[in-house]
Amino acid sequence: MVAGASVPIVFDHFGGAQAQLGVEQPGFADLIELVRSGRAYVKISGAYRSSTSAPDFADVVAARTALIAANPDRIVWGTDWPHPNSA
Amino acid sequence: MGHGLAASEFRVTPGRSPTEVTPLLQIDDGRLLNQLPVWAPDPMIRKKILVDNPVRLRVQLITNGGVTTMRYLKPSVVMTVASVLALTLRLHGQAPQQESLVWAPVPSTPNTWTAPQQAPHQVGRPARGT
Repeated sequence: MVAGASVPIVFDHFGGAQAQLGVEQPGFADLIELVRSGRAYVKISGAYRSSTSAPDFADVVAARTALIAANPDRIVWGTDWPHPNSA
Repeated sequence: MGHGLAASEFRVTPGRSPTEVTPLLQIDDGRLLNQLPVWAPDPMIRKKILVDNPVRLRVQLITNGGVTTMRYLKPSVVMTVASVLALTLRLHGQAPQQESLVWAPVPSTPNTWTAPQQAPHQVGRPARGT
């Protein structure tokens, strides 16, 4: 679906990946492949949605560097301000 | 949410009004931004993430989106291009404001102040005068 889209696709919040599950979690390899092939963007935003280690979120480093290394031309920055709480 | 739920399907947390908004999370955005160099140590890659990629994405949306999309996207495109442009100008140090004072020495008295011979390396700022 993403690969065949005629408009650019952007995954918000890091694709919803959870830091504690690491780069082996289901779907993360697919996300990496979409980024590497240039078919999707990933917004590295809302670190607190994928991490429990506020305020510096050290546990997201591995997955974020993996995404950036896959294709730095498909990563965009975002803070997710004003940080709505959906809980 | 956002999947076309009927009004009767919306659940309200007991003890809460349907119009009650959960307080926003208190996140230190500046501290979050300071983590970007940890994730992307290369300044040229940070420039891609902060400037080049969002610009390309927005241009793609304008050229791919067609008339209907444009009608809804126009204000946000204009706002985003404007803000990205402002960020680009800042990163390149060509904003109409004064030169950055981050690296300048603090004069002890006005008479003993001397200009620095050379500014230290500044992230994302290409050499000028070329």
